[in-house]
Amino acid sequence: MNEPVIQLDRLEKHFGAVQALRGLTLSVAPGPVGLLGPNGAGKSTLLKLLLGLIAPTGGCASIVGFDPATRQGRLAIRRRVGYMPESDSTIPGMNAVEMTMTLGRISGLGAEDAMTRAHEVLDYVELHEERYRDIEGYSTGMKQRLKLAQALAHDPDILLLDEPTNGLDPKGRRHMLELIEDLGKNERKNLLLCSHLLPDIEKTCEKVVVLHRGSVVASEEIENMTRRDERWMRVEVRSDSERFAGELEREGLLFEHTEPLRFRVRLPDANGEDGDILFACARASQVTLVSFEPVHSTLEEAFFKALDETPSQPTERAS
Amino acid sequence: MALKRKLPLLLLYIVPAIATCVVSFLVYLKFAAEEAVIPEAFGGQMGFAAQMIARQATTHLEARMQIITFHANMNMFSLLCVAWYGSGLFCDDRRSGAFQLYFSRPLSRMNYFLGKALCVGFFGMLVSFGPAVVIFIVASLASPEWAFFKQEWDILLRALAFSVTWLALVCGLTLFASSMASRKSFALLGVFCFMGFSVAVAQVLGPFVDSRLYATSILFDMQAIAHQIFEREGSWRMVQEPWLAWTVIWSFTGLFFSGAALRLARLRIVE
Repeated sequence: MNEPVIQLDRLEKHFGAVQALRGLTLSVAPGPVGLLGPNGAGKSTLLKLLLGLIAPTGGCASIVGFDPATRQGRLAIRRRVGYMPESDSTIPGMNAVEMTMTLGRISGLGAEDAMTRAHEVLDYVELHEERYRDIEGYSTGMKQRLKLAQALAHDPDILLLDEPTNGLDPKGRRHMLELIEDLGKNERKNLLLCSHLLPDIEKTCEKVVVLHRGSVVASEEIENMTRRDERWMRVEVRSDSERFAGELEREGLLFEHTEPLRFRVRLPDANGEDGDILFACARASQVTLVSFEPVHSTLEEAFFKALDETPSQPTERAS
Repeated sequence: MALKRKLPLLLLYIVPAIATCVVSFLVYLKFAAEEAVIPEAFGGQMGFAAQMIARQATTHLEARMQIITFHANMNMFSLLCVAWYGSGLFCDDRRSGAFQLYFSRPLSRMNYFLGKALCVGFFGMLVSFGPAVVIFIVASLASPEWAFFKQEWDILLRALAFSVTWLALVCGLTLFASSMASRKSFALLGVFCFMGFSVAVAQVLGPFVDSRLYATSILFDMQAIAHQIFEREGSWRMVQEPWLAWTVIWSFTGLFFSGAALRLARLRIVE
């Protein structure tokens, strides 16, 4: 089934004079998708809209086939969405089993099913004997795993994970990412991972949506996004790097001298496959080329590039 | 689950439970003495002490008045129970971030609010109305040919009406305090401070400004309402006009519930 799990059509949301989302049009395909954006990009507002906690000002949305603008739609969405909040969230006075079971029951499971499911998801996130202890004594890592467990309790169609590695030590972070990766890539769960940690997105997601100032600036496969910059070439010379740099400058090429004998050179071609100009520069400067290869930028570089390419627009709506 | 860790709450219930048992036994003894039936508890014989108790019960004990008096005295215990149990319902959820978990599920804010209110109301009814039911049942069973049930059946309805009125106010106050406070202890303090403050204001304004201002005290109002519901002619009360007492009580009740509901409606679930 390749129908989009989330469809937004010119979605708008403003809070007074501040426009949080501006004409967002987006289709989120099934599978693991990352939601990136700097602070104030509109990520939290989008999550609230997807959960039906706030109503849009304009446009329309469809989440797992339901419209959050209607009451029935909101309730239907919340039955099908599992939400892992960013901040600490527990039910006071309960242990992990009780909390997961209670939330499963609120989501519509019967008492017996909720208990069975609670133990299953707590096994999955590896909360063993700790599940019978009061939550208030849990470490940050245990609380994060519990939050993931309660989001999975009712077997939702789509998971919304907000900063799932927040506050975790390296070991805990790795464990959490492994769980999320397993959910997305092996279990084929639909998930929307909201994070400002680009390596987390790169590890766990196949697609990424970049938000900036309430608009989508990029929405594509991570593989395509990081492959885009094939005009940049990583070049290594044997010697006389200064002469080579001078020749590159004479040709009007954009380059960076990254290491003593290494350069990043931006070729003028669109497809980046024509390296003849590099040979010409090497010949002219009498320098031997050791190697040259396309630079695959990291997601971080692609992310900042996407932000830089976005035209500067005021966030406030003109009154 | 909720009772498992509520040791203080159980301790609060022990006193009413013991008192209910004692009064129920006395009521039973009264009817048994009237019927000259030796209770089985005495092993078929009555010792001197038991005879004295039975004689006193026959002479002084009227089951109806026992229910009324006991019911009125349970008010403070029900206030204690509701305030203790209910004062953390909203503020603890807010502090622990539970709202994000609740409202990301198919649970409306109204259902959440009603669930909390009914839960705390249930615990209040256990103390406020439960003992009256127990004593009524004992009296009905002990009286010859269900005479007590046939003659005094209305006492249960009156007790129910009084309990609902009192608990609606107390639950509303507690939930409102919980919605306003950041901690359970502050909410608890707020509940008792409000009760005390209302009495203090009445004591100051009543004698010096206008006697109708005694109605600013919740406890004086409930006294007047009890007088009317249980038809306690001759009993002393501060508020002479029952309609005033009813108006004040239900106004406060509406105010508290509206305030709590408004606080909940304006809650930011996800920051």
